[in-house]
Amino acid sequence: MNIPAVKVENLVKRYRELVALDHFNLQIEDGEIFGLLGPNGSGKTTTINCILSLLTYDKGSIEVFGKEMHPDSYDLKRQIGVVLQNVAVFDELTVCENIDYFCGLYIRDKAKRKQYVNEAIDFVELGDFRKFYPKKLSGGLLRRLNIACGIAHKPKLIFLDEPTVAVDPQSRNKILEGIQELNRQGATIIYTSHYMEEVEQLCTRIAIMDKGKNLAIGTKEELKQLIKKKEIVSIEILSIPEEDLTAIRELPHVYEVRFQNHQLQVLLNGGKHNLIRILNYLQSKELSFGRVYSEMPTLNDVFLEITGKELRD
Amino acid sequence: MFIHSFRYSLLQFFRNKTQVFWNLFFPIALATMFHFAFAGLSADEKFDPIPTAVVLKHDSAASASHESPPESDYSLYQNSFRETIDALNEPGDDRLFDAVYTTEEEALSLLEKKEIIGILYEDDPVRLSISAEMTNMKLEQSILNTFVEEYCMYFETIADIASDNPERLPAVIESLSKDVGYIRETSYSDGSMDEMLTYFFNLIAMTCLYAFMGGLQAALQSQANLSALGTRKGISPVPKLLSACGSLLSALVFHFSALCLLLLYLIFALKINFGSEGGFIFFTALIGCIAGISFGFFIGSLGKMNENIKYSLLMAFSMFCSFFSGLMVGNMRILVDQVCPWFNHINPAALITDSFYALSICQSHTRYFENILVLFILSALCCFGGVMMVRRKKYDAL
Repeated sequence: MNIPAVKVENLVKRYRELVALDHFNLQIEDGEIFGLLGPNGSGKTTTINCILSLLTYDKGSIEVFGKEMHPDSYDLKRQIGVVLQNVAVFDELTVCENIDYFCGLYIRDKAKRKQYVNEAIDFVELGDFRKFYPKKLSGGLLRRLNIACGIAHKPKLIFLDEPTVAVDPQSRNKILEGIQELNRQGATIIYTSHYMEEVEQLCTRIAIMDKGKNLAIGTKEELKQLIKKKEIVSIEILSIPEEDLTAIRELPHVYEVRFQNHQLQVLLNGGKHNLIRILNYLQSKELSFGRVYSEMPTLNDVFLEITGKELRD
Repeated sequence: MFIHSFRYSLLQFFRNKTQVFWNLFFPIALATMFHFAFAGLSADEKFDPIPTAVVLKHDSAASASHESPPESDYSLYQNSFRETIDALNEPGDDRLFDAVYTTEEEALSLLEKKEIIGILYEDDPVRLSISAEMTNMKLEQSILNTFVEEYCMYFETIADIASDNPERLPAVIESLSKDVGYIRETSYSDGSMDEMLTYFFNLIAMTCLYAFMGGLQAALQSQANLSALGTRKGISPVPKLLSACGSLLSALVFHFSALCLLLLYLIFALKINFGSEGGFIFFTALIGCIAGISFGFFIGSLGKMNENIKYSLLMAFSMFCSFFSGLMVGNMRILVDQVCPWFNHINPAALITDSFYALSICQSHTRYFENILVLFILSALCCFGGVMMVRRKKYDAL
């Protein structure tokens, strides 16, 4: 049996009256890219900080690679890399020196470290900026430096806490490709982000948490099965009588029909050939229509349905 | 790992423009300003002896050649007058008169040629003659006038005692004669006793306290709940104390180097005479640096206050201590000693300044080592407090 990379059981963390983690459970398998999703204040960063043994917790247990995690678990820490949400680099050190400094906290051998630093610089494509100070770097380059500092020592377990915040699309794409490459090289990745499309593109499994609880966990396909909405059919149409809307609502698997701004939206909860069935109905009623779309639910739909649509802090 | 942390931390300090400015360029600029300001003051205060002619009562060739006049009833008094003039005519820093014994005619001639400021007549009582035309010599004329008035007062005192208690006259004259002598300050370390030197002592003390910046940085970068860098270090496999020690040592090397440069600048460029206790001067700077770093480390580790608030607190603390040790007002330390003496024994700036002062004036090093011991204890307490906070392994909140 494979030892999970991270195993969290019944974790409870309180900030005075506020319960940040409420009997939280999580198991991340070795070699996964695991997405941790949740609204602001849902407990994602608290979970990561507890796993990293930075925060105290009231109850529960945390294991990393099968061993209990403590602040003094230096052997375990040596296998962990963290890319923090806030860029954490020294302004007075160059790109190369910054990476060398953080890599040096893990790797003692100078020759090996030099090789790792060069590989990290190549990995984030900062070769032309080796001698640059962080203040001279753009936001995207700075994020890439932040990543290089966190992964230069070739960790087996990498935590990426919203690494693409405030990054341009080109840099974001480069970062995402880099994360997939790290995973191909054997690293287990725990990824938190607010960008659903990123998580959908990257992660093999996803957990959605809110109010300190794990609401859902699985592959994106599994998560999409958890929600009612399975397909959305959108049709451009000039006008449609109310009785036709009622009739469409009666079609199989249709659970909601909306008509607004010449746009007919039919929400379906499953089934096959739904689009053909709807179009056949419209043709039978000689209703002319324009463009037609059929969309599967996105992770965003899953997220909103599970966590609710009310605004968060 | 320690050397790795130390090396990069040191690199950070030397490249940090704010640190270099406050710890090196600012004290050097202030020292240069002090130097030129005090040089101007010294020049203003420099006093040239007053050219004066003295006409003795026995206006003869013997008098003019400054031979001892014959004994008379007033011989003791006459001797006293001449001794007083001679004492004030002696070459040295405290010389008051550039006196010449001469005849009345010659003295008047010199006054007319404006070669002298005034003529002192050994009459009963002593008289002064000055030229009304020499309006630009009012200060010198005033000094001569004051001298004559005081001497006449002494004369009357002597006359009274001579009539009432003649047997005590020699003793009184001897006592009054001693008053014209100056108490000479003597340094046991070849150091300058220039009062302005204390401003430079205070400047060094202030620079020592500015080392708080190094301690503050070491504390902030060691604590996961205080900075993102602290978080990154906290999740690394390096014990926090080891990393913090590397940063603290590099802070000490940086700040002590800056202080050494300042001291060398003071000694060689500004020619400030710190005396022959050079080794102790540098040792004091080292201990002062340790104290500054310790305060920064302690406050830096304390609570979750914002970095800017902690920096402002420590800067205010440094200036507060420096003010009460006399950086802005020279005799402040003496005033504090009169009003609140215990404060000088715990004020690190006052302790550093007093250590330098003790090196300059005291033959024994007892007072010096007392100050150093107190500084060491304060530093040890702050370091202990800082270490106790930094060694925390987990946090309740980040």
